[in-house]
Amino acid sequence: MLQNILKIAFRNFWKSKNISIINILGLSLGISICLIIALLVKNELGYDRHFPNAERIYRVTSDLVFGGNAMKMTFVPAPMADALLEEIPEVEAAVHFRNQGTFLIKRHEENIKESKIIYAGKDFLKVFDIPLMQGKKEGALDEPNTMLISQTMADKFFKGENAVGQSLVLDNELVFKITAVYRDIPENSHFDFHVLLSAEGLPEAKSGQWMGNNFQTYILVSPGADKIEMERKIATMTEKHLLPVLKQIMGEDFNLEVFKASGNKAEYTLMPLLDIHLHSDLVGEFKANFSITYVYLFTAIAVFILLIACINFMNLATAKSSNRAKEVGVRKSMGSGRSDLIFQFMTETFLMSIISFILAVIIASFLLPFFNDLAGRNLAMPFDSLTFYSSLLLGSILVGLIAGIYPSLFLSGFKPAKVLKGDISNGMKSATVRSSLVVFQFSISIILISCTIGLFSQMNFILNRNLGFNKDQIIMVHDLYALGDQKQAFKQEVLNNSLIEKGTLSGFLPVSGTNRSDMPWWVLGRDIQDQENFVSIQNWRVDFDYIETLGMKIIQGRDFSMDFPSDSSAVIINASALKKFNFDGDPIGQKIASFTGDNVSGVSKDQFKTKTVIGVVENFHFESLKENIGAVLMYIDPNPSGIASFKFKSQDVEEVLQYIEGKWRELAPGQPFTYDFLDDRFASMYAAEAKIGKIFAVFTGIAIFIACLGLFALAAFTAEQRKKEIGIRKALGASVSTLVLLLSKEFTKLVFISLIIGIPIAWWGMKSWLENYQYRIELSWGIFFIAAMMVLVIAWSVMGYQSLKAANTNPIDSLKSE
Amino acid sequence: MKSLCPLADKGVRRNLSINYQKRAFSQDLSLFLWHKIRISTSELQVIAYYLFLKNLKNHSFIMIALSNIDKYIESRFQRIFILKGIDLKIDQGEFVTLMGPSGVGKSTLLNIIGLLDEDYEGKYIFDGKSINGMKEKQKSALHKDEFGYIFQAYHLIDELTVYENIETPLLYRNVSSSERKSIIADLLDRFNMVAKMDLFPEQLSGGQQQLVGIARAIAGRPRVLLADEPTGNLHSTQAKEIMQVFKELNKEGTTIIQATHARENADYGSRLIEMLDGKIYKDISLA
Repeated sequence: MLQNILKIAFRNFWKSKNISIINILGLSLGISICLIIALLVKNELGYDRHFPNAERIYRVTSDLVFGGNAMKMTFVPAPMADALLEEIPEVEAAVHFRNQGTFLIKRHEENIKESKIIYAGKDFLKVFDIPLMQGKKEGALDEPNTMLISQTMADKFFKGENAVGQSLVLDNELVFKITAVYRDIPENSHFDFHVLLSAEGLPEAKSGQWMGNNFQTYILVSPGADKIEMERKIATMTEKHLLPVLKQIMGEDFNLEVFKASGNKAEYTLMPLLDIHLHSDLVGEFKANFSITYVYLFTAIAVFILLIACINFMNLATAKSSNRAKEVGVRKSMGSGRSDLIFQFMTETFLMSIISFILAVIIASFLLPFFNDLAGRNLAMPFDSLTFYSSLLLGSILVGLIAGIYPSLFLSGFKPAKVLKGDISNGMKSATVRSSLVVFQFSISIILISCTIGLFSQMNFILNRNLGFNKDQIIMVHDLYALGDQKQAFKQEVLNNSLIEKGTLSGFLPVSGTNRSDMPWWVLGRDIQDQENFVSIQNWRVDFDYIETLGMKIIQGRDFSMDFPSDSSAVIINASALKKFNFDGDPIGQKIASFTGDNVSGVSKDQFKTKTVIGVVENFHFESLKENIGAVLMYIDPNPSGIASFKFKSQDVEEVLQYIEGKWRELAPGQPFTYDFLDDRFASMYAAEAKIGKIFAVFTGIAIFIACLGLFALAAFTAEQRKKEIGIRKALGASVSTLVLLLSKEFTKLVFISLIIGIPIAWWGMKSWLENYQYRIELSWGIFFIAAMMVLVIAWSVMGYQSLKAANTNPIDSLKSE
Repeated sequence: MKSLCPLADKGVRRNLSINYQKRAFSQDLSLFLWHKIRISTSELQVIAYYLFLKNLKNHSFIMIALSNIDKYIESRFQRIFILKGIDLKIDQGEFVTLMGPSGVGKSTLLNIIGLLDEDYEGKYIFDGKSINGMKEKQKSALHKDEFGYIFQAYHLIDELTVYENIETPLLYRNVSSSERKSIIADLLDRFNMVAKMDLFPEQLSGGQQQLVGIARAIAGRPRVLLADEPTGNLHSTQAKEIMQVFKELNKEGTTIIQATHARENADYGSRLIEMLDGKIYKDISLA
């Protein structure tokens, strides 16, 4: 019996092989995309699971509101880790990290720049029990100036040697001894550092300062510990530690209730390690995380693509029903029950499904490198995994079921007495179902297209928005400390070249990844017992050329100038800050004050520093456009460091680069020269969105392509079925154009219905996505109009081809067979 | 050759669970006994009964009994009757011809008898059992065991070869591979089609296609052969050939019911039923 079924299946396949191949390729392509997305989703969901006891590790996060400035960060106070270990019984181990950016590392002579480097508390290996290749776990980071390095690092510096016991030099001055080498942390981890430095020697780690939030802190809790309960204990604990500090600043009559009532808070909560990659987007993440929304989004796209491909399959199977009707009738008259026929048609579908899956694996293997490139991932087909094959098998059964169940129920339901008489009006009944399936496919296509267009217009909007500063043709040279006291000399040397217009030295730039510093200020003379008078504001240290180099616009007062010696105590504020300070009268010349001191030594309540406002600049974006523009004040740093930014005019970037690098080599021999461009840096702030956008566009393209394959085949079948009608109409004098119109009319109607269904859904989806952005495009009808036109043009060209072909056949060819 | 005793035949089949091959041999009892070596007492009783009934001369049994069959289409203003008040009894071994002009209801009646059409009113008793309210499974079993169909347009499956077309009904009967081979070989031999067994239907003439259709219909050894205009698409020489085959099959014991509007075809049969406007107009015995 099975042999008979397979024979029929194969011969039917061959009889209309063009369409069958289109069908099977469409299905394979759809499945291969699903496969890739499944790999991606599995990878993202598997983040950090490789750490032993991963489900018992939590990160402490802070949720602070102070002086109207809200911050959600991964940073908590330095003494938090020790306090947690001592005071919360559930905590078995705690470790804190301090990220100080990149370091230069050398063994003998040549420096290597390493960014995956961080200071870690001594209990690191108790929390993150990662396997060691060399060395002992006990006491690995107990001593100052000890370090753990990864296998990769060990291979880099000590190829073929035992790394333990050897030393490396950081930034040309710090000597760290290697105590152990650990196996590389897998790529799908939010924590993937290659060098861990002991935080024991770090002064701020030992400061006991509860006001500053600078350390990422992780804890290992005992099995079964309750998160809510622990958070309650942490709240009590932090209150105990913070209250004396706050009293010291605010005065003895400081009242916590009043503090909270005026909208301030300092809350510390726990985030499970396994949630970090998909559920966290805080200030100070170790690396850019993914979002669970994207996981859902991609899963939805995968399901949609698979559905579109399955619908193609269903549509063609039912459209072909007139060809199969006779067979069904004959088989039924021979005593085949309905279940036998369902079995037969399901077997055919399963066969197709299995073939498609095999093809899909091949297609996916080819597409994966491109996808990896696009998505910045390193996914591989798990050919050595048994689960992979069993999920493929399960998948093919599932797809077979989805694609096969309707056609087989439909086909097996034919009444033999009717179909054997040649009455296949049954085949027409399925047209309604088929039409709704086509509408469904095109609705999805329209949603995907409009969302892609919307996404790209928003990205375009961000990248071309008036930012309040000029990001083009500015080169940033990093790691100025390598120049020692030659920084100003370097700036002057570079400016000697006529291609370079302006230059400034400052670590604070309006792109992410540069310095930030937040301190409260108030208008001198106002009562500081009143929380209302505090303005939480960014304090940026700049030099005299800063505003001019970055092309910021002074809207009141003047720029810093060497001609005014008093400018060392002057500030320029932005428009946001102007609003927050709420000066009485003209802001220019007004004095503002703040505490002296810093995060390490603590702030002193009694000593104030005062500065005079000399100018106001137009607001400029310095965080993602998802945020509102915050308040900024700038003052002159007598000894600026961090980054040198140069504005150049030449189109010949190569030449400028070579010149600057030459000067660097002269002044800082042997130190690596690192640079980037401000506009690139800016674009990288939206890299995640841009990446998602690209992937989305590709998948949308594929989804539409598959939908069109289906439409193409369906149009071919309709034309085939109406061959006789077309022949008669032609014989009666119908022109080709009327016939094309006649044939396209039906599908055009369906596409229009899809527009009516798809556009509102797309509109709603886009609207909710855009709400993430403070600065966003207006949703215009243009987007949907373009999407609609695209779908119509694509659909018409596909149908038009088939209709033209049918309309151009000689009427006699189709009529004489009757 | 074939038993004239439906009751006994049924009994034997039921009790011995005779499969296809044994049934073939049961036409010759001695061979049957030779083939089936171990026979229980109850089986012997059945065989005795079978022999007793077989010796009853000129005795016939009602195989198909239709009473007051109506079939109609609900049109917007009235019912249009395709069949109205049909009462018909057909005995085992008869060769019945249904005649009448186009649209008179011959095919519909044939479909109802052959269980291909269940959308009617009235009582239908086959072999003493009521078809009305029979379960799908039992009907399907009846299909397989009792009926063979021959169509005007042959209705061979285009994607299967001659051999495979004849094989298909046997597959539904779970006949073993070696048995299938021998049955198909016999049929191909009988209809002189051995050389054509690997051809596809479209490579055959109409008459040859209809021969394949007949071979397919009788491959499962049905007791009733239903033929709807079997010669309608054939020219007269081919038609005569087909009718000759029918006559032989009838002689071998198969009950045949054919619908036709060619009077000359009726001459091969034993009974002529003329239909008019959905009713039986004349019922003539030609024997």
